Amino acid sequence: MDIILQTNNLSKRFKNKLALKNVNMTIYRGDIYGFVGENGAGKSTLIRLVTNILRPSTGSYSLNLPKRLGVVGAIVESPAFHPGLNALQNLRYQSDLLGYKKTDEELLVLLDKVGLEEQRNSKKVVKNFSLGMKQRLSIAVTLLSNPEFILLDEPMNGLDPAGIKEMRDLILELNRKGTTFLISSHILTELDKVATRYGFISHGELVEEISVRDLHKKAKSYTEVKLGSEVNAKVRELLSGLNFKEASATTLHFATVAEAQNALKLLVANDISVTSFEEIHETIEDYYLQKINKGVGA
Amino acid sequence: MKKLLIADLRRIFKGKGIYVLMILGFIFPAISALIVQLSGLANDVAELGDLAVEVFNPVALYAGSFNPTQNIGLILLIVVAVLISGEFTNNTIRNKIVAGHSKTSLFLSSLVTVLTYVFVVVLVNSSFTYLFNSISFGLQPFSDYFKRGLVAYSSIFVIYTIMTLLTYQFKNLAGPLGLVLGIYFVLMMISTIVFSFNGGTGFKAKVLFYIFPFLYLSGIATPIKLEWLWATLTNVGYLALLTTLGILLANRTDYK
Repeated sequence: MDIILQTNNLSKRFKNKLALKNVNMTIYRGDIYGFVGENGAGKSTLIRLVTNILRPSTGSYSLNLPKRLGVVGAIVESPAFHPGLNALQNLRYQSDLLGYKKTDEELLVLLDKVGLEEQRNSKKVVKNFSLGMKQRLSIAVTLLSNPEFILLDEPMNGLDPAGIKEMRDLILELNRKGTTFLISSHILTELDKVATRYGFISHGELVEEISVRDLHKKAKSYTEVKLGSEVNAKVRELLSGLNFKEASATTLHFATVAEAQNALKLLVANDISVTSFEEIHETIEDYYLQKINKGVGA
Repeated sequence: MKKLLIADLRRIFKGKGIYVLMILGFIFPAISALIVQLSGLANDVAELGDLAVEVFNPVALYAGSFNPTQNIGLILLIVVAVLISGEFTNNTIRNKIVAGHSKTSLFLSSLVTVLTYVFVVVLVNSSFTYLFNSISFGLQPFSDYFKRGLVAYSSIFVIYTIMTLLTYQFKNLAGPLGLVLGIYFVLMMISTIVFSFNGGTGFKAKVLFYIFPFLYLSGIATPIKLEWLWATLTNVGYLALLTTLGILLANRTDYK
């Protein structure tokens, strides 16, 4: 596969703190790379390094992209604009920075695309925008140059549910057209809807890179049976031949559905009430928490 | 670099700030000229003695209009400091880096933009100062204005290059502005002390003005003999040195 970003033992030190430790990350062309980690894990630092905002302390990175302005797009932490200019003026300035000669209509189309239609003829300056509006304008600025690689740092921040859906649809649409993404987000359920690969980072170290397909293969599934009363000696004796775990005082986890079904028959036959029977698949969140040694659940 | 520079220049010339400063650059010398006319100073200056002739001399007043710590000069210094540091406080510098512009281009574009901004405002202010004072006190040989102008513009450019360089390192407003004003005031104090001994003709004064030609911008220093070619060339040397240093440091620093 065609690699678009490769980091080689990339590290960054801020005074006494090693923010990023020998990170070897690979992003392939066409990926939507979900970059997951706790606060302060080093996600933003890595994005700033590969966008040339920060200088690596050691190590290097290579971007397999043509040398042209605007080939990379990024939203790094908070959106950045000239506060005294309105949406169209900020877009115009960014267009000038890239050397484009776009008409007002071309720029207005971008505002429409990110849901800022009401700003078409508005004189409202950016300093009076909500965080969600700034986030949308950031996307418009990013899209200006049709970048091949877009890095988004917490892109869902400040967006309302409709905005989150629009953002997700836009990411998927652009990805279908060939744009590669690196997206860092705390909202793992959202990331799960778009990502094709994941990188898990913790305390500055890249713990694992895994494709969604492999993650689903590796992610555990189990069947949860909840009893109407606490698990007692009688229940343990009845189920002694089966492989299960007591997840809580009233909850049992079985490795397979077949075993859970056998248990259900035995429990019902002995008048032990069962309140729920559910097949559980480990989520990206469960998998991530286990990876960074905060494992909970089964 | 060219695209970046065009975008930066377009932004400052589309803003209101530069035009407000240009209007102020006209208003300040106009008010001064009005006061001079109404007070009758223009006619009486010779009767007030040699010192008055030295101070109310069109060339000296023209040279004084470049002083970065007085009137329009101080306002300009603050406005430009806000302008450069705004890139860092608003984080818009990030957009330029992400777009793919080199850090050398960033620094050079900022520097050229700042110097253009300063040149335009100072040109308006000094030209009207020259015009109004020539009307009030009579014309002086053009070569005097030319020589003072060369030294003054090159000196102003040195000061604003230092300001740009410091802003790229501090990435805020207060640090560079405080340092530039602080350094300038300290040098002014030293030059005032040295000048007060023997009217700036002694060896110490010469050495001081040879090393720091931008001290010619101070009102105190304007009456002394102008080593204009030396001063201009020294300033050009400073500009080359500071620009090179600025590029090196801009490439070695982390941005926000």
